[in-house]
Amino acid sequence: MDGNLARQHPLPPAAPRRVGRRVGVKLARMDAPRSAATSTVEQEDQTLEDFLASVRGRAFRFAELGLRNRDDALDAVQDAMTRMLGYADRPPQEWTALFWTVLRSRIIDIQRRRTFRLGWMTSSDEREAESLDWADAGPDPSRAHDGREAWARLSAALRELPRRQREAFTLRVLEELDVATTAKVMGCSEGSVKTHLSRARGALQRQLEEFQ
Amino acid sequence: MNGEPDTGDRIDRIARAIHAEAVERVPADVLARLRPRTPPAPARSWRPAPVLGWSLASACAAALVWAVGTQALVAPEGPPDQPAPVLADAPVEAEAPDPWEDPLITFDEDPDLFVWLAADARPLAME
Repeated sequence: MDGNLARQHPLPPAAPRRVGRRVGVKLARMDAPRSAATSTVEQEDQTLEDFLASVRGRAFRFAELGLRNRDDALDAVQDAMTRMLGYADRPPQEWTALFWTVLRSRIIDIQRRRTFRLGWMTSSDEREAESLDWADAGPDPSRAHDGREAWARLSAALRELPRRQREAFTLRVLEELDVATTAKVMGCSEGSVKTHLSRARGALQRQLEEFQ
Repeated sequence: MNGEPDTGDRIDRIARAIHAEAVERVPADVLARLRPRTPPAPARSWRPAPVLGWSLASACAAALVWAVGTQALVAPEGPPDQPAPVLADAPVEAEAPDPWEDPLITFDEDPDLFVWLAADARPLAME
């Protein structure tokens, strides 16, 4: 982990976050730099369409990790967004937990359905090959290539994890939800989230070291 | 975590950076498709079709029953019965003999005659 991936993605020491990029999950972050009152006002002014637009890319990557298939990931996110329309009257502060709960449930449904129907027809290697959608357009093609390789390695390592560990790491670390929201989304206790997260970190460290 | 907070934090930061770039690199055509599905058309647009179909089927069935019933009750006068066709190759039966001209026909038709003859033969022989 400290080798290739770290060289490809040098990080500033304080790991600054892009505050304001995702309004929908702002309240869920433990270390949100703005006050809760400011965030609440911003969320109350936000429409559901804005929330869905702000979270769609992250939701797609989350679904892609779980389903290993582009079309299935698109279906899962679209279904989750469609179901969210039924929660438009709920307070915006609840949208984050609701959306990730619905999306996670939808992903599990598709996984189970695919296990019974098509799991024996398509190999996992084929599905993984189809799954990596990456826009290469940019000023620095070599950097884009490095980023794609790093994401391919990270996603492969995440896919090797048990589902609960992958969900805990993805929701808690990548989506930066707090422990309580992660537990709510996963339908388990906060202690279970911490346990899954600890095991996921250990497994990721071991797996990513093999890439060096 | 678990005695190695620096390692865990470092993994978290690297993973976040990689993930952030991956989110930014989601293709535009994929992003364009990531929206709620359009709601289905209202049910009234297709509800009348099955009703019309069932009505049409019922009308056709009733017309068929009326036609068949009319033909059965008011049977038209058909052509007179024609004799059964005779096959040309069928073997012609031998013409039956006239019972008044054949002296043996009585024995063929009445077995009681032989019983009566047998009953009278014994006393005649004893005498």
